[in-house]
Amino acid sequence: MQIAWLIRGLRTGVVTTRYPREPETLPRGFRGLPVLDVDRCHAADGCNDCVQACLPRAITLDAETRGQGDTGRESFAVSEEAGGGVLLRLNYGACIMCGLCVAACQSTAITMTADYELAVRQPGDLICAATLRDQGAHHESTASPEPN
Amino acid sequence: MNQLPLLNPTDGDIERASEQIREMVRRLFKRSLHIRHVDAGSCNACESEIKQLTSPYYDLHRLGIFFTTSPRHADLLLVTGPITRAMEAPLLRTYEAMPDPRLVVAVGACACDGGIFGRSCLTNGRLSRVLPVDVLIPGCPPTPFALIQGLLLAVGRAEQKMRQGQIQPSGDNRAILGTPSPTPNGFSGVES
Repeated sequence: MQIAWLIRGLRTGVVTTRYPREPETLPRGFRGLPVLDVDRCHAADGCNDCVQACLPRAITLDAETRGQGDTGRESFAVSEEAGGGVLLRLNYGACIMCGLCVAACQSTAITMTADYELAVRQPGDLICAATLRDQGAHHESTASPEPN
Repeated sequence: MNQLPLLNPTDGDIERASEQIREMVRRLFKRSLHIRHVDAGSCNACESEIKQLTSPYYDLHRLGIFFTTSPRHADLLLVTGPITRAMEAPLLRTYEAMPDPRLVVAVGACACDGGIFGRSCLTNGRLSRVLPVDVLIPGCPPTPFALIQGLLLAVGRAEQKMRQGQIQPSGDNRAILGTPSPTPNGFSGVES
């Protein structure tokens, strides 16, 4: 009996992950970091399907939240350089990786990656933004978000 | 390291000194870290993932990180949930009971930014409204691998991958993520 256990244990080997030393690939279908392809996004043409679909309101357009006060989320400052464009912000801190924005996006601009290493030291590092304009998408850095 | 205290320290001096102290703290906890976990209104999804860390598969102990049941033995406070009003005072008591230097880690979307709960009459909405946060681990819930990365980041054994870490998951800079920010966002742990 004990011999059988020993043989089975030796056959199984070490099951512990070697994660920090070796990168770990998560199973297919794992929803990690959502990523936006700015070239395919139609937010500048008035599309806000992902904003509507987002449950924790992690995705926001600056035109929509202009002038709103503290709603318990980030107060989304209007970018100074966003003349004529819209500012699409994604707050990874609030994102629950549900994938509803991917399902809602008609131009398949948003994709879920399997990236899970999202820990940061500053809360501001979790907020990412892209400025979108009508003619050709621009990928610009934006003003830092104001704490509410 | 052994500099005389300056009479009129500038902001730069203070920042440099705080960065030095932070580096010392990280070095102190590099090989042995004891964690006290506080559930501040979590839905227990994060707890389920945290519990997996001590399983044979993830085996957090091989990294020198242990869970402890007393805040007096703890170096790091692991907080989950949207910080309900009921758990706010116990959380602060736990923090005060911990010996200095201590680290605070927010786990999950709720502790990072309110998640699906947000701010209400019953919740603070995020940990940084209550305590100074050192590391935030987003995710709903974060996988045990994400937790390991966050804990190692807290003690300076891992690199931050987002933003300053210049992560580019889609291979080019068209992704919304990795937008280079001109300055690190002034968005410190404790809000005024």
